[in-house]
Amino acid sequence: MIQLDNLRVAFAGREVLAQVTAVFAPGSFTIIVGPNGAGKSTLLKAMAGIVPLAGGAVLYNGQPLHRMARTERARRVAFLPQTRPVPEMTALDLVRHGRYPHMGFSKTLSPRDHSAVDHAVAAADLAPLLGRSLATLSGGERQRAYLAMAIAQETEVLLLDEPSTHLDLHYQLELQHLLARLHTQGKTIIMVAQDLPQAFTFAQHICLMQQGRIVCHQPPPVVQQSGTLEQVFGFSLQPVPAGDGLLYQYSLAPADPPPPEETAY
Amino acid sequence: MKSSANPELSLIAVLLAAAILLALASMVCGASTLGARDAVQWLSGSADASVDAIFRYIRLPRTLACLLVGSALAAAGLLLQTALNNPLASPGVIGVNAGSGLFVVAASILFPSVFWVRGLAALGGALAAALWVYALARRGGASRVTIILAGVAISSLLAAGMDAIVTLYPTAIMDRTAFFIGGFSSIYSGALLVALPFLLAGFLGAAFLAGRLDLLLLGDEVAASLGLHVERTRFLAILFAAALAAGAVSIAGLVGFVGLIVPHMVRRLTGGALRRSLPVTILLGGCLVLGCDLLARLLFAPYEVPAGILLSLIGAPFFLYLILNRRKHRYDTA
Repeated sequence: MIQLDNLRVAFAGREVLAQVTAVFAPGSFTIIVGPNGAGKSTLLKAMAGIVPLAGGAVLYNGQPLHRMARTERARRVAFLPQTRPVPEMTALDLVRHGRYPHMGFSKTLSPRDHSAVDHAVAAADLAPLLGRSLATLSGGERQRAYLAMAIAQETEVLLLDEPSTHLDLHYQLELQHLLARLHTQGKTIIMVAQDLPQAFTFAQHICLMQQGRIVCHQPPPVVQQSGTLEQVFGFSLQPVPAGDGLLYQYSLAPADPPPPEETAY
Repeated sequence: MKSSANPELSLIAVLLAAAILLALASMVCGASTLGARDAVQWLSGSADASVDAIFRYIRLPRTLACLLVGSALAAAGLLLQTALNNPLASPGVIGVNAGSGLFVVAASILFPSVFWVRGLAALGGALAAALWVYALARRGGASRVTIILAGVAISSLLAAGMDAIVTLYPTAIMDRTAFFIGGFSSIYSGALLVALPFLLAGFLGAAFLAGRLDLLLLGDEVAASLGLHVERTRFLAILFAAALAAGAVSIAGLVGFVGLIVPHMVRRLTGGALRRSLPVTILLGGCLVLGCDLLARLLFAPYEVPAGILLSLIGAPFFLYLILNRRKHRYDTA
């Protein structure tokens, strides 16, 4: 379980996260949405323990993250930022780096590490690409390689910052399936996404943010009916029954219809 | 997956053999006509005093110096290129060249008759400049960019100081020139002994970093999320690179381009991970400098070209080739 307790983060005196309090249940799948500058990425980085806190705490099963040793923290939570470099290394070397927090002083791979790498490679379906240099892979393939690295890290929690933005549809679907598989295997997944209909269709919980605060943190139907989406984005979503679940699409009737002179073109 | 260590092992074996052959050649070739037979006599202890002196005080220190300086500069370059994620980084970017230059020129004015003081001055200047660059960059967060910018700023400051000294004391220009060209024609074993602890510390430190430094290539955020202490790792890389480079310049002056080109050659040969590329880099650096020094001795024998000039003649075209073929740094926002 992850608890955020009055979390505050400030960059150069400007408050980016203000008194954020929230609970993420173990094994839950949460998507964080909100307009640009709402603090979504910062919240994710604070939960990964890689930005200094101005106040409050992030607790993993009751233990404050900032008191843990770096490697212990990295054995509990994996994080993939939105922007990742394309280093000169093979996909296999990248996945192996996921074992860093598990290795001892000599930083050599044990048989246990090798089996974790093999498992992650299989989970991300990366085997055909292992020997390839990252620079020669497509964006989607590289994304999968990074994800395999995070899987090899064997953490309870996986934090992803906009993993599917800029990927073509094929890779987006592939990624969705992979994340759904990881979720059913018990991983707690918290990710930031831009595509609202997709987020609402896909997630167990929606965490809606605005100006450094969490406005609403509920299952998608509750968020949709709460009216907070209109308040934050100025439009709403509409659920459409599909199979045994719900699909969401942008509501055709905007909450505030634009003035007629702008639609006259 | 299991056999991935093999190509490097055979490469290491080849380079080791090359290093031994070059070292043997370096022992039997030189300005005097002493050859293989004299070397064997010297080893068996039956050589006369003058032969013994040439082998003991000239050829042996020179051979060792070439190997050590080449290995140290190549390893320093590899550490810096990885830590700063910059393919054009070499010891010069952390102020090593300018710092040691200034101290050497100052020492040659302050202690004109004590020739061994220049090695110590080079060592101290290189370390002081590198630490100053890091301390300054730390105020800006010690990111890759601030370190490089601080290095540029401090280097030009120190170079200005050196130019000021040379302007006021024109006699220092000889020492400055000799130091900046770099070479192995006047190696003495005392300089090797002084540099040895720094080189050893640097090599051990590089081995320690070999399993860690690669993480910085994934970007600071990913490296930190994997449990790496990003700032400390980068500092250690700069510290060990500075120790290696300082040891090297105290022995042979500024021997250019080794730190820049050898890591690139190795990257073509082994690709990727530091743990695999470090031993190859160390051996190739030693071979390259020893080979160049051998050429420098033999090309116009009995006259010598400073090895530094020869290395630059080979290094500069390679540097151009690198610039023209450099792959752009790429980032994914996917």
